[in-house]
Amino acid sequence: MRKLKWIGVLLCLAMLIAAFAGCGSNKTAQVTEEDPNTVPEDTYEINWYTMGAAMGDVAEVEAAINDYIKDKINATVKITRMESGQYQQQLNTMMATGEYFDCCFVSNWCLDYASNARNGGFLALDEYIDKYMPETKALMEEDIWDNVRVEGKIYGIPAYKEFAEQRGWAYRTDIAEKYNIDMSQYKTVESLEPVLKMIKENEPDFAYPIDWGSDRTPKELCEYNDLATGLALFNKKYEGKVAKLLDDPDYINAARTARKFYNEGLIKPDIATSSDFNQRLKDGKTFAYLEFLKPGKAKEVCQKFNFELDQAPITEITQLASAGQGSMIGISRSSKNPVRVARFLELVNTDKYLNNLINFGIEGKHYTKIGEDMIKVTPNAGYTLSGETWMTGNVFLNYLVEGEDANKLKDLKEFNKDAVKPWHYGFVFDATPVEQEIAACKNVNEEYGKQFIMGAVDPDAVIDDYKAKLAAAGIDKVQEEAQRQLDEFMASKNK
Amino acid sequence: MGKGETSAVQEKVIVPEVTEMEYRPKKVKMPVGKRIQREAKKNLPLFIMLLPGFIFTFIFSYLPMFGIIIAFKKINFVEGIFASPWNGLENFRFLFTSSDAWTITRNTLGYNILFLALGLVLNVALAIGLTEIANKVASKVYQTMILMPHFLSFVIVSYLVFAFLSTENGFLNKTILPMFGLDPVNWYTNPKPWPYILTFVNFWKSVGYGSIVYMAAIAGIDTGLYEAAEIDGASRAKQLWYITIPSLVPLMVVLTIMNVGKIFNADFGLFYQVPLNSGALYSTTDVISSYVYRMLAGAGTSSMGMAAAASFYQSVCGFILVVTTNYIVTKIDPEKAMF
Amino acid sequence: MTKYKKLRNPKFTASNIILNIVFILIAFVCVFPVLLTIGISVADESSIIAHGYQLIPEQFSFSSYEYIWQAKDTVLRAYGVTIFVTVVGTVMSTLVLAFYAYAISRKDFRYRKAFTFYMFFTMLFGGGVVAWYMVITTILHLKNTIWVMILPHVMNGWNIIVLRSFFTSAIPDEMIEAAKLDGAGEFKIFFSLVMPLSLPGLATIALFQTLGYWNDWTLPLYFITKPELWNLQFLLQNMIANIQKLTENAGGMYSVAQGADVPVEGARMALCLIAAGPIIIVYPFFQKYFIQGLTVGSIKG
Repeated sequence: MRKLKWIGVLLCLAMLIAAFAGCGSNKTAQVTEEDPNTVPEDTYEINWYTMGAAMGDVAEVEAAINDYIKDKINATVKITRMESGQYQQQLNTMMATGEYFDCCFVSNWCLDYASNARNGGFLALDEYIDKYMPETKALMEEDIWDNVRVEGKIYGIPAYKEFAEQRGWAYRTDIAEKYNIDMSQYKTVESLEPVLKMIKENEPDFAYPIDWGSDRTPKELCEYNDLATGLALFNKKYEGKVAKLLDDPDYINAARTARKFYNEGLIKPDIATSSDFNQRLKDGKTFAYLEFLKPGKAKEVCQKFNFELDQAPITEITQLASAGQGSMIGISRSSKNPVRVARFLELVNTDKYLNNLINFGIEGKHYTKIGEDMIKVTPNAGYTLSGETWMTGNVFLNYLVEGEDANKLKDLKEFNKDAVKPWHYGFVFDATPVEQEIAACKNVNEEYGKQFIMGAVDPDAVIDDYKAKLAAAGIDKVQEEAQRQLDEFMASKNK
Repeated sequence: MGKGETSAVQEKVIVPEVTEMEYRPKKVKMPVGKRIQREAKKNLPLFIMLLPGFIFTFIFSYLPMFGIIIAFKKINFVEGIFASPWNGLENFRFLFTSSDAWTITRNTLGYNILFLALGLVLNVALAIGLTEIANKVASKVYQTMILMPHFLSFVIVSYLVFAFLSTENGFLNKTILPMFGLDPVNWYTNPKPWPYILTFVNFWKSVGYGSIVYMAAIAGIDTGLYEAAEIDGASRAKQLWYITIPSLVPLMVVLTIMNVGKIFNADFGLFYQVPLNSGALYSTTDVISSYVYRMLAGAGTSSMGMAAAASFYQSVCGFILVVTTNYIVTKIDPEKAMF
Repeated sequence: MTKYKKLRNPKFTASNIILNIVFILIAFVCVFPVLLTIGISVADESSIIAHGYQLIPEQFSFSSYEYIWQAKDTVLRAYGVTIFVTVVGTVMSTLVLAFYAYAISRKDFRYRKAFTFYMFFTMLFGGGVVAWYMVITTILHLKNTIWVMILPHVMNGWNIIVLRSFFTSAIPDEMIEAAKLDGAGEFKIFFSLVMPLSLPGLATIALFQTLGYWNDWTLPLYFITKPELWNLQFLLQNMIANIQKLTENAGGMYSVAQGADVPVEGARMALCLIAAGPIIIVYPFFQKYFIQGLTVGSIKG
């Protein structure tokens, strides 16, 4: 007992030290206002985290960026790149523990934007945007800014890019030409079966002529918008209703088709666990796959491949309520100088030279210019964001990469204009009241979801278990809550 | 977590002896100040030696102990952990109403009890086998090879396992199963075989190491006993049964009881790396430590709350078990008690 | 002892032969996965696609190793990090552990119980990962430094207990008494008397720590975001992640890693062998100390 007392004293001591050392108190630094038109006197280093593979020449590009922005905002940048899995884990933990960083990539599919914003991981940016980012603000319509509001406030700066989505096929140009295949004919995944079989037979290199990635499965043509795990709003049916995915016949059919392909050997047997989708794509052993399309998407994807891809849109061009949330940069609550970060982001969105420096690296080293706005990326360049420029600000400032359509940027704007808005446009689900149920449903989904939709299991054999587990995890409660919010939203919309 | 991988068996082996005697303050009356001064001076060099270890332990083990309060908080990043509002048992309520709590508890306890029971048999059998081999050089060679997996990290082990189980190219699916005319199996999405796979991998990696203690104990058995038995005409098998095994029993009992105290701590590397964290396998591979890690890495405060609750549950149950088992050990053999 | 034993020369009894066969099988099972991995690493990618992973590939190719050679800067750097961490970590922790264990092994040290329990309690109870992470990042600011892969593993309760048992059994109290009477200070006693006598014990602990540092992947997982500070194990883990994670989950958008055609299957296994190689080659030479150290502990217990 004496020992335990002793330990008690030690623990209290530990507690006090931890408390005083500021562990866990994430109070924001004092904001020093700046005059947006002058160059500040103190240099500030901006710690910028972003997602993607590490690259050799980051330091060089940083130096070039620093040289350029020194006279403009007297800041330097430190870019840290991490791959998706590690990125999310690290940033989540950093935000939860109040660790210092300045800004980072965030979206509704990576780092759970809404939840982290609500929990205070990010700064509310409304005032900063008004004061320090006027041009960025003017770039995008009010609609898009509304998209990214969480409880009325903006917590991330959307990248100015396409704000609509359209799904369809991306496929190998050479094979399609060789066999005279018109992919736009194949409006469903199922209908492609004979083509795939024919290719498998005639082209020994294409053992698995179709391929699924984790977000590129047969379900992509079902046209719905994920609401929470297992729950969805379908763009064209169930108007006014929150639907369970597993109750939708189209969804189940997609899974059955995947299973059929799987059994016929048209897809890779370990599809559910081998997630080197892009590597496989690049290896060129896939004829076609489902892709999220925008003008020039296929060309963007195949930039680093040694074959060409083409695209055939299937679904309608749709603008979703979460369109603005697809790619954003958020400023951390732990940033010591959010004003400078905001000014930097304003530059990224408005300064063509800086934007392209960040995206394509140094001219002559990482790329060469082959036209006024057209570049050729150096093979095996130590730095290039070619293909992922949509993560860093305004893509309309980007150079075009050799092989891309000269009209790409114009077409992108058209694309944004053409988008239709589904019946549920504008609805944003506040998951807070059922956060725990959603976390539990996510767990169930991790166990079943992927192999279910990819065909690695027989959907009819597991669906009952799958449903039962979701029910146990509380999906009905989530559905009720979502339905309640949706009803409210629809009522106010129809007023 | 955060501990090296080496501790697995040492834990079983060493049992510090502690007597209560010296802890009592001596009843010498002397002015307090002078006594402290004298004590300090006398022990100063030893205190200096203790200092680095003391500091390291304090920083890396005692400071984080404040973490237990996280389990009772509704965490809010703005307020920080200390200022976040209390949440009562809400985190626990949610953890235990989900089916996860049952799965991870069952897996953690199930695997560890299985490893413990089977380990006892396998470690002893291997130790006896190795000592029985007449050719000592051969015995050494076998031991070296059997010990090899212990030196590999679980990252590497996961690669080796993948070489066998890969659905597309794996040695099992491409070479072994076709030999018997069996269809390929989708190993990483089929949870059923995993209890066997994990058990196999666990012993593949640990059995060589686990037998060392018993080999030492066998070497320590009085040879006179065997000689006497030989004279009486007892066969080798009888000698094993009546001499070797009974002499090992006390060690077996103590090691087992002590390990019962640790059955809430599953090896994170084994359960996280080897199944490649494949979601489809969670029903048979998810244990408390891998669950905590996954919940931590997930976004949002509710998963953080669940991570903290699960982690607290593990710490406390583990603590209670260790204290209890230690109490039992004191009853059986006070010498071997840990404290 | 006599005729009977001579008659049945144990080398040729049926049971001994069976025992040998059993052990040959067990030993084979233990090393087979490594052999298989070697086979995969030297297989031609096309032969893997046709026949799967094989022990002896149909077609040999060193393209996997060539591929890794192209990335040798990365691999060598990771090697450098691992070696630095292992060497510095082992030396530092062995010293700290030895000091601590020695002090609490001294029977005439009045506070040994207290300090034993102080350390022992940490083995019973922990505060969880979140708080541990916070201490290291927000109090110590060790994130993304090489020290974060060393310092958290310096202290290890079980190693202290092993060492303490070693000191109590290898160093007689009288010897220390005698040295004290000769006027030797504690540090002199430790360095010139205790250390040489307990070299095997220290060697064992050093081995445990070496192994722990060499094989660690958890610390970089939590604290290292800079690729230049990746150690070997973490690089290896990222090789899976590189293929697995980089390309996935990117709802509608993704990036593609650069580089020439990669012999994916073979290169993975080749890197795995490159990381495991040194330990596999070296451990048989240190095995003796390893077993000795454990044995000392067990006899004590």
